[in-house]
Amino acid sequence: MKLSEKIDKLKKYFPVVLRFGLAIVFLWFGFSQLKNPEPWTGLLPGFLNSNVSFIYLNGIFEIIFASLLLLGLFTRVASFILGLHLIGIIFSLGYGAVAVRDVGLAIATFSMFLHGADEFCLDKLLLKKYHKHNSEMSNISE
Amino acid sequence: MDRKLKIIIPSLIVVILVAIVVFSVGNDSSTNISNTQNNNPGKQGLSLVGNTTQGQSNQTSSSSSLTLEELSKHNSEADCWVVYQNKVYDLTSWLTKHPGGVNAILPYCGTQEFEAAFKRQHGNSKASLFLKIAQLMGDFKSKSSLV
Repeated sequence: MKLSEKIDKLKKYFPVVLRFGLAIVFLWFGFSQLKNPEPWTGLLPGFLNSNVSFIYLNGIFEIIFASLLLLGLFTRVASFILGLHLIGIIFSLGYGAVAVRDVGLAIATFSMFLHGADEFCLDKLLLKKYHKHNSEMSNISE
Repeated sequence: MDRKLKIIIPSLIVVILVAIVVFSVGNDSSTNISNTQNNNPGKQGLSLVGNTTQGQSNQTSSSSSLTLEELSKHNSEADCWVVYQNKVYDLTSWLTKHPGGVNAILPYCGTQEFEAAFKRQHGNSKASLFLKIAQLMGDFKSKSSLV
């Protein structure tokens, strides 16, 4: 078997790899903000007055949504919200190397939104269960 | 149920691993900060918490003029001075806290190029934050002022 054919067999794992990669990034930043919030206040918009509480909230938000992405639960919603969140950060940072990198991350996150749940997501499992339950109910009613 | 566990368990493992990495690797940088402070007893530690009072006292300590030759001696991670608006500031304690990493600032330690790089990266949006966190060491005596 050719190498390209072997790699093609792994295609189905692409969304999982992307989900995990993105989730790890958001988890890292989320935990970092909880661990040591003070340096991150510099990235807050001016009207928030460098308040540390917002960093804690942001950290918790990122951890929760990254976890949803990891589990593949509400995949589209989680990836869309994280993508918007990144866009907010990009505008807050202004043009620079970090913002350019974040643009790439935002695009990857939105591509996750476009793709939706993959076969390794909890979403798919729950949807299957829901459909199965519905068909059972309709059979009973008949 | 098995399939659910196959999804949940690896996800949990990833979350725990990332948390371990963040909370254990981060201890090294906080140790570096305390070592820096111990090696330089004359320099105050910088923290954004309670920085308003420090910021005020930082801004009134300008009593000496420093030349480029003196500035260039402070060009390392353990001792980083930069020039901003014709004044010399000590950024040593902030280096490891910088969200963009130490290497974003380190090349400009002990040089006059910090201000240009800072404005390229942050524009004017972070100027007030910089003045709060940096410790003022004195005025900068550029060559033109010596002539």
